[in-house]
Amino acid sequence: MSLAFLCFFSDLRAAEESRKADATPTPASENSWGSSGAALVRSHCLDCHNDDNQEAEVNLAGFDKPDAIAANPEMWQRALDMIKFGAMPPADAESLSDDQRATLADSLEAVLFSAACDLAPKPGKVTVRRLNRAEYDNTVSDLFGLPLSIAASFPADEVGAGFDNNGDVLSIPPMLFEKYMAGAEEVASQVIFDPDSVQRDEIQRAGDQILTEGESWVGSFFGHFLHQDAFAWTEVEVPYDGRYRLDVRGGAPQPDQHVQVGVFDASGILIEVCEFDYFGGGGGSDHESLKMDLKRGRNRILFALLKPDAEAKAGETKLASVERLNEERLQAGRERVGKKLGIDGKIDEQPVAFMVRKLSVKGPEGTPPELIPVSHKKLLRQFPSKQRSAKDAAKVCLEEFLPRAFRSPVDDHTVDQYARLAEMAFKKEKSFERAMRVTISAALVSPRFLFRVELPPADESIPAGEVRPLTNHQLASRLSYFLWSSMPDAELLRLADEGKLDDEQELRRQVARMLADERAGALAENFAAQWLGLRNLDDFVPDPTKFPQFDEDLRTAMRSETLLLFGDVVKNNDSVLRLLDSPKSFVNERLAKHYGIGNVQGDEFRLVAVRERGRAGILTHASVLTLTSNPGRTSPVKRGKWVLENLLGTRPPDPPAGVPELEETTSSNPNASLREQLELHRSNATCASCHSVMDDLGFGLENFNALGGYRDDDEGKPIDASGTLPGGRSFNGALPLIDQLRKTESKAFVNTMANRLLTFAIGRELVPADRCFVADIVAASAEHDYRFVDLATAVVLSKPFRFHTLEEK
Amino acid sequence: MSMTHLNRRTLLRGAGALVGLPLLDAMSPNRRALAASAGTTAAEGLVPTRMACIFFPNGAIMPDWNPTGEGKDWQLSKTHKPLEAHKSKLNVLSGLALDKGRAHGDGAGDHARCSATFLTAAHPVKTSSNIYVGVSVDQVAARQLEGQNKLSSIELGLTGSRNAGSCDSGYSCAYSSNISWRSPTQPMSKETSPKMAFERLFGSGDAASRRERDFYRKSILDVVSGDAERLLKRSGGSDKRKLEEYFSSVRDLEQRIERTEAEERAAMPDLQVPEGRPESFREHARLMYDIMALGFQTNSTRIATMMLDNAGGGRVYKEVGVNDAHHSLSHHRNHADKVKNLSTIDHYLIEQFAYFLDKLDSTSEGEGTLLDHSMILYGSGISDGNRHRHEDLPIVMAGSANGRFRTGEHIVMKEETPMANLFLTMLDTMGTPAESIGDSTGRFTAMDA
Repeated sequence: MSLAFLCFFSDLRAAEESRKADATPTPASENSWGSSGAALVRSHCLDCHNDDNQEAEVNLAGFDKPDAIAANPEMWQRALDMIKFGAMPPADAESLSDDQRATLADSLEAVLFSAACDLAPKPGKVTVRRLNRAEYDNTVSDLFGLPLSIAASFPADEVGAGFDNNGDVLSIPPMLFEKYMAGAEEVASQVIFDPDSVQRDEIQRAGDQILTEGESWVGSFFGHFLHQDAFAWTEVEVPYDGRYRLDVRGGAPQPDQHVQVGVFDASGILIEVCEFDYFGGGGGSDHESLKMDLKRGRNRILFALLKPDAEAKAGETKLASVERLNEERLQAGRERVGKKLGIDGKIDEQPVAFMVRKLSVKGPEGTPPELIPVSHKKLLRQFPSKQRSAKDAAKVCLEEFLPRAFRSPVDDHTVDQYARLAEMAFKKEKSFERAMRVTISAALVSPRFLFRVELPPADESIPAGEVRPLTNHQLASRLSYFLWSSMPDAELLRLADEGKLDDEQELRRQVARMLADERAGALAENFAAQWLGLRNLDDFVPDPTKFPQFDEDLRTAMRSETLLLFGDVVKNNDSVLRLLDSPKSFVNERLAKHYGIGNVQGDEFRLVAVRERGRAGILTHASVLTLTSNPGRTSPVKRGKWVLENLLGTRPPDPPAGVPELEETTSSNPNASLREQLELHRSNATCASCHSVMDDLGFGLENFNALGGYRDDDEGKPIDASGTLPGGRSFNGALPLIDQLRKTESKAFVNTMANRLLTFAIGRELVPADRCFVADIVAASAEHDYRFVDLATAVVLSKPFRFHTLEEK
Repeated sequence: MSMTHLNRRTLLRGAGALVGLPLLDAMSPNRRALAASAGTTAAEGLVPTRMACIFFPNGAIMPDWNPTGEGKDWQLSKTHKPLEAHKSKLNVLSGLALDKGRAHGDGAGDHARCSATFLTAAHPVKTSSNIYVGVSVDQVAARQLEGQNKLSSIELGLTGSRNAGSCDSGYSCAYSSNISWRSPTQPMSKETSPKMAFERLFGSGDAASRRERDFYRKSILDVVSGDAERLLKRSGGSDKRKLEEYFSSVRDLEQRIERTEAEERAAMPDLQVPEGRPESFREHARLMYDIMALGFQTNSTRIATMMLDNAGGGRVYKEVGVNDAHHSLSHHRNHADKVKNLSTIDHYLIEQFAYFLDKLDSTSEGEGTLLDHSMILYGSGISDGNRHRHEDLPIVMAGSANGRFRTGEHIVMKEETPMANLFLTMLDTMGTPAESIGDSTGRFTAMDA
């Protein structure tokens, strides 16, 4: 009997034939239905599901005509799922033999397939999608070339069809719009620097803040009078690297005297010479200005006498006596700052050569380069000037910026509207930087930025209901948001501008290029994490009495292991089947300890062999095993359900309400193992029909506890990890189970992954008609054993990705 | 507006603090007039009625929830003991139902339906993406009251929207994560950060920079509205709907800016709100209750909704000795330990609700308290969580809504009564009547004064 999960026998050789078969549906399917499947429906289903009596509100009365089946594909798909799964007919009704089940499933599948695919199915329509949180942050980061993270303050996105990039559930309620507005203003303030915000305080140094080395005297007005061999020094702290203006006040000690005082840096190199006349007596001074480059932080400046014929080359001449200012002297000097200066009398009698009174430091000049983010220069290509109005300057900037921000060509009218906004702001602010901040904020709340709009160009008039290819720019966005969760890069936009994305070969090249780029890491974070339900791992709270060793580091490590494996498959373009049975996995020290693997030190993840520890592929990842458990114990049912839904594409039917709880059986059979309790549960025929498959899958994984750690027994009770998949495929333990799945269910796995990948790529739920496209994708990637790049390329080349059906206006 | 009644804000503008300011006699109309015209809005200078709806998931243990006795002669149940102090100002309602929460052929998904129907009484379409339910009672009121308060409504929660696969048997997570719906297809996202909720209601205190920011925002919104208009002209179907939602949010912000300019902003209320999300549930819930109370007190908003957890939520209430997740406990199958734990959770949630009522009732306003001028709905869309029942719902209504309702009673409906009828009565009381909502069959008159 074929496994109830997929009707095509999925051994790899057979896959070859069936690949050809399912790509070309035959009209013979209709004829064969009448003689095979229809007869079985009549004999095994109709009693309970007919016009007079509809169990579970399912009426299969129209079964004999393929047209009737085609008219109600959802119901018949559901019927097919139940049949393949083994849930129907129920165990207490007349059952189908394995062969009969296979026949019925195969022929019903063929009818549904041809119903969907014979008549050139339409690619459907994707509702305009707003950027979700991850996409928003990635987009603004790429748009401005700066790592920006704003979306944490946005509310969580709603999820549709399993992913948070589904156009139908994403909307912009007023609260979110306010946050977009505030977020846009925040981004604008980070990507454009406002020069007026530079701190340009004046720093002054005088009196006790100026120290001296060598003979010197303090005048009545706290000026410093120095011997010809002495020098004065002071320190200033400035907030930025840059060029500063120094105003030095000093002088010659006697009237009609003229001195040259050199200004030196901390290493004693001459910066400039100040020519001073007599200081004027009393508290007066002569003054001079110079420019000096200072470093952010503390700077030392020295003042010393230059003899009249001494060499004075700026940048070269060195003050020999700077050596005197050793660490000890520096410390002593710093300590004297702030302490009262004693005034010396009778300075006239001293051999004073020059005096220094005060230093003012102003600056920096211009805008310190380190404050200007790289985005600033890129955005502000032109500034207003006498020859150029603010509006015209803004226009130049916007003509480059808006097409990138809106991911498509922008007409003059639109550029003009934004330029006017800049002009208005410039009039009020008198600052072009601030005016452009306002303008950038506007662009970031425009629907053309927030939404991925896929409307036909204004001049096109294809009637509603018609199928239309997406424009190059729309395709570029689809590509980049699919593979990078971000905006198209320069190359994609250029190709779009040149109309080259119509070409299949170009699309193939781009997919390969984009998957090799590190931005494809978004696929792990966004696609894989959601497909495999890893976000549920974040909410998991284990019972602290049973699992005291659980902590956030372990949770993070668990998550990383799975995402890294997925990323590895993408990067190396491996077969996606590696996810099922990879004998190696990524661990760090914490996770290795959890798995009982020795010799792993440090936080970084590395590939280690895990197969000898009884693990292979994602089914034995702690992440998966944990998120499918209860806080205190494993749940084989949840694990089975997870495998069925996420790996094999068969969602088990919902349980009826009022299902009796497991604990009832615990109290009546306290010594029964979990497995035995579950089996007692399946004594009810209705329950057994679904649980026989689901539970067995979970039992195969029972050697892993609720946190995914290995165990040989469950609180003393021995573990029985054996089970049977429909068709007599038995296994005992996780590795045999995984090997079975790999051998016999790889087609189902690829089918499911293609289904999920297509859903994620186009951002809408798949409908029955899409089954053809999924089949084509699987077929196209079969040739090289389902490598990831092939799968992704097939998705990109598929009809739903490149075309859509127009809606009524 | 009558010249004899000062605008309440005039007083608030002058005073620094806002806590516990009494209404002056000159501002409050006499009692009879108050009672008679209780349904009118703030525009006429009377005390406006406030409305809050608080949701808890997974139903309750009904034997411990249901009061003993009926009418005026009744006793609080074990679960409701914390509400002792406010017994005379609240009613426990028994016999209400949300029929649209039942399966009606859609199979499993009672939790998604529980929250989706809680304020809409409409049957949600079972889909994981093309969501469609109905407009919720708070939004029916809010749309009609637009322009009267700083915010027409505020939606709060303690847990963000679930973003992991499907949330309940094929229903989109949007159904389990929201109770407030602006349109049948657009839920109102919840704010879960107390700091952000506070800032939304009261701003961040810097009036000058806010004014400058708003000056530019008006022009920004003009430009992007232009972009939206041009797109709308070319779009149809679901695209058009999405873009119209965008447009209406833009207009919403424009109106808020105008309103904020028109009135001088009152001083910020005095409440310590921490950055980030509070660690404990109790602290988080109480902060949100504080914010709602302050929002009502300052008339920054008249309508608030809060979800204590998403439908089917699995919070572990370790602090009261319950180590299992809420939802899995709720399938208790009459197992004594689980029932006891659930009862403990019910009681614990009621304790926090009592804190809210304390806050409202200790805030005097005119001749009564803030609680007297409000109607606070506390409940769930499921009664027995084990069997997922959508009738005999656990509902408490607190506050007499300006004397519109009798309080202090256990009101038992003899026949199953649509909760939607209660919604219609609430809409009347807010001064925003509607013909029907969800599966309403008429007004709910059992509490009328």
